[in-house]
Amino acid sequence: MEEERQVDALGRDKLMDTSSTEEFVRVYSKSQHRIMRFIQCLVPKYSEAEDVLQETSAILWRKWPEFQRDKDFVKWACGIARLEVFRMLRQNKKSGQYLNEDVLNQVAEAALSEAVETDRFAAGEAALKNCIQELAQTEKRVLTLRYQYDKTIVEIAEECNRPKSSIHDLLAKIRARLMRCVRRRLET
Amino acid sequence: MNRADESRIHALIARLCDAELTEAEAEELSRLLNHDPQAIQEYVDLTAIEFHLHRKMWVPLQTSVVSEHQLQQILSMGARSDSLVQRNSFPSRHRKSLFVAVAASLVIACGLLVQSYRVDSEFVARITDQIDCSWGESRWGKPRLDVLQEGRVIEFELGLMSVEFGKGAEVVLEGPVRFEVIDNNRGYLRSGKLTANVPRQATGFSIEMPLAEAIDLGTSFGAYVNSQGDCETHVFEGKVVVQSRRGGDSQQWQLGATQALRISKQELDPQQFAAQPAAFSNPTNLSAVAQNNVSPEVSLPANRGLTLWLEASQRIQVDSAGRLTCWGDISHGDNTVADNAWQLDVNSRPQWIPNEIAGRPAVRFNGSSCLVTSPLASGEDITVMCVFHGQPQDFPNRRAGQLINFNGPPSLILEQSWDNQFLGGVGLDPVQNLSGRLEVSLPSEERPIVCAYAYSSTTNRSALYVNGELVGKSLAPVSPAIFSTKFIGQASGQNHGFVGDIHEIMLFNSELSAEECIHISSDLMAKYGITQKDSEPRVLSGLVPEEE
Repeated sequence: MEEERQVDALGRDKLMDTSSTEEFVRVYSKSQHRIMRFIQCLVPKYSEAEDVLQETSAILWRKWPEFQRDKDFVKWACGIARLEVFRMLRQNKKSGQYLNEDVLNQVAEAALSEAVETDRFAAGEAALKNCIQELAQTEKRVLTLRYQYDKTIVEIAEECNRPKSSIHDLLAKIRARLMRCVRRRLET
Repeated sequence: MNRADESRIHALIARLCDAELTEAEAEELSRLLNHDPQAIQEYVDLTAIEFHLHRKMWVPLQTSVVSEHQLQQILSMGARSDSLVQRNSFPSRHRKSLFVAVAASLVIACGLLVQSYRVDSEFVARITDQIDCSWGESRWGKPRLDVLQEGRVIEFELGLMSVEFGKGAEVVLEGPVRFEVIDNNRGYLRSGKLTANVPRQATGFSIEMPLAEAIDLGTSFGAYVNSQGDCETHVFEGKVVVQSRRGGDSQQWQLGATQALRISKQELDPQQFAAQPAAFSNPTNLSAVAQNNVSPEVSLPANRGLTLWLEASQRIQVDSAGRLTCWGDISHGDNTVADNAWQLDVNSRPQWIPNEIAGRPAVRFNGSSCLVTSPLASGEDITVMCVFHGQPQDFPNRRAGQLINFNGPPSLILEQSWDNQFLGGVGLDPVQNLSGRLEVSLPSEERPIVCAYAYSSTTNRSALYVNGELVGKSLAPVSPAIFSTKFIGQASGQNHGFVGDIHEIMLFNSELSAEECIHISSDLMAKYGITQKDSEPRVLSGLVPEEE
């Protein structure tokens, strides 16, 4: 059997066979969006959430040999991601711009429930697609600027010669509208 | 979580998503979310939108989350887990090249954005009227806080509410209903019933429902969602496109006038059937019933303060069982506002009888039915004229049945008792010790009665006429002035239900002269084929004041 050496989180050498590696790849790739979503719930700025995801994925890989296969991988992974979020916030001393830890823990509980519901996650994504189609052209354009071209609020405001606050308000309004639309569609 | 908190939470989360949250705002948001499950769910759902928007709209970002193939490659190269920590370096570069590529389109897009701001409506939606509606602080009229923001949910059990959308569409919600304002040209009917009247500029107005969406093409239509979530769309005028939202189904149908479509969870195929306008209350579209006999007309004196005129052949709205939903005010001249009488509770609606006497319709009350007008002002001097035919032997508990009650105090009332007495007066207390009390024994013939009751507190006199004859006079020391809803067929909250037919009621905010009362009475008698008999009623009580 093909084997490779692996160092776990505690520095222990572990032998990981190819089938185990493939299994991790399969399970992780299926779940990474939901893990990312869990992290982003705690760290809404997407680029920072990506950083946490990458750190988390490394830890997951190291700890994979310890994972009990009859358990829920997403739940396990989110537990690790949660610790990683708090570690990142403390290390970077960014907590001032985020929710306090007590509230973050409450949010994490709600986010975990959402993350382990595979169907709801997929349905929410599908619903959003339809909801975006219902937006006015102007609103779609603003979303394109913000999310497709990754413009900041300031950049959009400058290019459109509009006050920053009006772009900010418009985006907030669009997000809230999409949220309500998704909720309605998930109700049915 | 109240609405102010909800709005604030939305604003703060938006700043958080845009990385603009200050430390103070972070503390505020933490405080608002702390131990509030509803607020936390709001936070989770909003950040989910942010997440999915990133994933869906930024195509290159799809690759920033490692694909299975990439992962397999990394691992098969014998890389240690730390390889996974390598940053994906392409995003920022990719973004820059995208900026250059789309620069021109951005300029156009932003230009359109600015232009669009200028034409946006000043409001998303607002309440323009309430009719006996169990919503907010007042059941009638336009509320003080009338503006409805996006996402505002309206839910009430009884009554009607008119909502005007920013682009011009008008929706009449009928309780019990749960409705949400989505934007200035769109709403979501979760349950209940509504009627939409859509002017041309609002074409495209749409009503979402759990299983369908009705998109207007310049028309008037009704929408109904029952407790199981089944959805109906009824087209009254113009055309509507109905799109299924059942599961992954996105089938569309175009409905024309008089067509209706039902989409339900139970039935596989949507059911098409005839539209049922009578199933929807629509205060802006009261129908005029064709009159079998249009003459002789009633000649009314001008400038005498006619404030309410209900006539059973005109401006009525009945439900599918022929019960009266609305009796429309046809007063004109002195009165510029229609003070319609309503009954929105199905169980309390009087029956509309199309051809009761002389080819004329009537509104039939059964002792537990009644109508309520929108609030209207009645002054110091009042004249009420009424054409009615009571069945006093059928009155509940052998008590009096009230034709009209001003719902005070002071409450001007006209009532018929179980022993066929007719009484008018103004009551200042619940036990109705009446001022200006006049009581008369009515003839027992099987024909309607025309009565006129003139009450003037400014001249301190009242008079009662039956079939054009003066039958009594009294003093009128108490002012009947009040701004109130007027009850027809039953007193508010009392067991004084009238049993019989009412053909017509007029309310003047003035004391009509004897000549005027007699003249109008004569016209009404001719209109309803009532002839004068020798045995006219006699006065039973009433203090006749000295002639002036």
